[in-house]
Amino acid sequence: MSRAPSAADRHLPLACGALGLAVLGHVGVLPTWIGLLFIVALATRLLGVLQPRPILRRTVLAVFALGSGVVVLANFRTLNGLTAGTSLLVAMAALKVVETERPRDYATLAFIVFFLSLASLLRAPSPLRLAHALACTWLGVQLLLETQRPAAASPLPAARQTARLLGLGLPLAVVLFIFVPRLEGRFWAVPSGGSEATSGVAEEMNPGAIAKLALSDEPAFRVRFDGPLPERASRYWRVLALDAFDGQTWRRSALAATLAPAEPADSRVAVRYSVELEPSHQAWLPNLERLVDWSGVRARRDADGTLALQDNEAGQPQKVDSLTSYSARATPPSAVPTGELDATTRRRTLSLPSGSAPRSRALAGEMRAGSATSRDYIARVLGYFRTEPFAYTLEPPPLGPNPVDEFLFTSRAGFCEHYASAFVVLMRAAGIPARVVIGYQGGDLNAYGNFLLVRQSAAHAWAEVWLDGEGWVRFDPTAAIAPERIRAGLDGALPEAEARRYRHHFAWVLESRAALDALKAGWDRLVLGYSSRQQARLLDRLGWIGDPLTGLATLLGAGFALTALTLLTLQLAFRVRPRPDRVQRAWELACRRLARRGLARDPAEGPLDFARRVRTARPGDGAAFDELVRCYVRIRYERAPVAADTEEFIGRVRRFRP
Amino acid sequence: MAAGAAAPSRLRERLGRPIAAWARRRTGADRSPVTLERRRIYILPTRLGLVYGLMLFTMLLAGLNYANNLALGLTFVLAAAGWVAMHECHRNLAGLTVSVQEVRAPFAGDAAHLTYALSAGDGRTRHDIELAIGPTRATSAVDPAALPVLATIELPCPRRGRFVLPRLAVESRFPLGLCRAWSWLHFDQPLTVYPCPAARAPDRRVADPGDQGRRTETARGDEDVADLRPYRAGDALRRVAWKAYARGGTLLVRDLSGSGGAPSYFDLADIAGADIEARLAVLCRLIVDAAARGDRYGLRLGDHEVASGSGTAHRARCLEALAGYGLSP
Repeated sequence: MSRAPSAADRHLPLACGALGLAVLGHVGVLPTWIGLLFIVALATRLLGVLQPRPILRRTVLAVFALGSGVVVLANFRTLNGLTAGTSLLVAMAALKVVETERPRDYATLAFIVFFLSLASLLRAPSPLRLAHALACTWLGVQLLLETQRPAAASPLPAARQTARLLGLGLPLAVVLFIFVPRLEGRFWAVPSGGSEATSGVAEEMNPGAIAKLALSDEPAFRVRFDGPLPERASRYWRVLALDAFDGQTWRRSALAATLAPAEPADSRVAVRYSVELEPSHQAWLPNLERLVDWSGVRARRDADGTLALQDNEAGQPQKVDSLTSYSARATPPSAVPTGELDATTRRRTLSLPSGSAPRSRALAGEMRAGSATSRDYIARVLGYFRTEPFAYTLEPPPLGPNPVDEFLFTSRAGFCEHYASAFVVLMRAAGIPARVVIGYQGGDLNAYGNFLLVRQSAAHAWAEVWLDGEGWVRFDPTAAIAPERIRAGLDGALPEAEARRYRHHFAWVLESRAALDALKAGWDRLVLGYSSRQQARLLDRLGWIGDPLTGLATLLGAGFALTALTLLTLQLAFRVRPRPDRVQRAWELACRRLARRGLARDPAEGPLDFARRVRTARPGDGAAFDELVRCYVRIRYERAPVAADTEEFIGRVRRFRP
Repeated sequence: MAAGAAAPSRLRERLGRPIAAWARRRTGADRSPVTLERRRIYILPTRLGLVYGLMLFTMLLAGLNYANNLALGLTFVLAAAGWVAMHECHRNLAGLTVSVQEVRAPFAGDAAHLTYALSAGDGRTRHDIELAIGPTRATSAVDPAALPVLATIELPCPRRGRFVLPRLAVESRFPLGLCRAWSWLHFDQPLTVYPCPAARAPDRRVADPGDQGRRTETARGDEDVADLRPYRAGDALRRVAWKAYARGGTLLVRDLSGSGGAPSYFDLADIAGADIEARLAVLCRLIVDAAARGDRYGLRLGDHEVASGSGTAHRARCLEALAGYGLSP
């Protein structure tokens, strides 16, 4: 199987191109040294084509391969993670390129290209990456096509053949996509790389945390409501309640993360909706307040009302690493009667770090003394925000070591987190249990897709206050300062100068953005979000009764059969059957007529020999056949055949009746 | 991969023999030309195909585990491409017509040149068709627009004898090398292997009693018009009376049958030696040399006699008699 290297090297440019394109999908996450190794390896080999030089020995390569494995392991401490696996794959590809010579080596390179494309999609399933992965796949298949051939093979229209293979396979790929059963859980836990940044609201809140998000137009999640859309002012999407405060930062206490007892709920007035949550790399699932129940995901509800995605029944919260969809029901806040707040939670939601915010405490004491009930007090606090010169801004002045006091009495300019934080401190200082809630407020209805799109810029922080007899009641101090924020969203609420700087108002921009959002929503729902649930629904719609797995298997088989049948039909329908020309058909007719008289032409017999035989065997027909054959020979063997001969010949055959 | 196929392991041999016998029984002997129909085309994944399948399975697991539909989609695109490739591989053989074009009988120790003609009557181009007899193979692409494509296999023939053409495998791994489709053809066509001619002919006197007459005849010259007859197709060019041709413009040949020269007979009994193969080799050398000179000669092998004659057909008849001598037909 050894060949002159030059013969195999002619596939090197394609192989290197395919590999290079595949590696492009991982630029930025690969360690620099692997990138360098890869480039050096490709360059060495490609230059080697021009200047043949001995290829590195296999033993040297083996040492290199082992070495790169060890280095990758040291770098990532695992080979399981996506980035570690990809790095190893790229290192292997670099080494393989150096020794690539035989068809088998090229096949290995093609397989590496396929795996790298897959890893790119696992990293981020975006349409752009899909296009990139398909391009890589194309090149990989073409590489297989060109290299897995006998040594002496003639050139091939390889691109067309590749198109044919992939194109004809497309219907089957679609059938497989629809009917191959999806999993509910996972086979093995995938370590979430530390490099994968979280997006969306963070698990802790300090001044400036949400203002940063306000600039992001990334979609956070989409919601479809069964029934009428709730008004904007009541669309508060809770993500997390933060109950522990250290004077600077709000966090979630361990107590809040305990499992909650089921709350009594009136499901008759519940609003039903389904959410498609973009990957946030956090466990929390946003929901309307007062969640009744949910379906479609395995999740747990904690004592503070947070819904967290769960790995399994027992277990750990699982991060939302891929598009996750679920349905839920929630009731309007007023509809739920509640019991008593337990002592631990009360203590927790009343505590303030000792010595923090002394001026705020003083203010709270003063206002509390002047109000009869908790509600009166809350109204006074909100009134304080309204009447004092507070400003709503994305660019608040930086705050020092005692942010609440500074904000309330000095800077008086802040974003929602400043107001929520100050409000809760004022509540706690007055002996009213309160906590900060972070989540999203509002969301825009997309007219193209009839769904509510909630962007990261809708991130918001507000407060929940425990009122005896009413339970946790939401108060949004931001609404007191910037009611526009709640009524119309961020764009209307910011001061004009900031709004011009940060938001765009052009109608056509907004319009086309909405159309794109709708497209993305459709893509997310139909392609990314297609799961075992959708499969079950599909089976249901098709009228399948019984085990869904059996149903899928049956349909899969049917799909295979159907595709095979289609292919076969296409082949039969488009088969090119070279029709013999008129002269040939006429000649065959004459021969058939003679054969019926017992004079069959031997396949090896030329027309003149046959004519001679006919002359002797059937003298009566000999002359006519002679003329006919002479005509035939003229047409077939004369250097410049005359068109009239053809007509004459066909006429003679027609008249020839032995 | 081709190397693996070329050097069959013992296990493969053990498994292969009954399978080969079964395939032979299934299709029977073939009369050239044969058009490959679907039922006589076999297809199995190659080693590369198995690795490809394993790769797809790994990709499927990864896609399912990450619940990543795009990764699954990519996997399915590749799986579908492999599936189409399998069909294409099968279709690449189906409908192909194979016929035996020429079997050039070799001398033992040489290679038989077996030329097969491939044609595609249905108008589809076929790619990378390989013809193989055991480890020897030939590759060709079949373009339906052209005349039948010829592919020649040089089959080493170590022993003389009369054989039937060995089993021909028509196979293809096109397009991706993931599958190998093949068909076995058992052409019912004889293959004669002549004995290997001895390095040099023995002493003429012993071997060639008619030699004297022949020499005198040669010496007589061209002018003896009485011995000339018109040229017939197949006459040796060295017998053409070129001088007579120059004079009269017709091709005349010196006719030996009419002359006094007695035809020479090569007789196995005249060749000394114990080893029958060596004696046949000597006879073979004599016949080859005589044929090259354009002599008339006959052959006696015990009871069997080939009457005196000349020309290519006669030479072939004699050599065939040598090839089959002493072997059960």
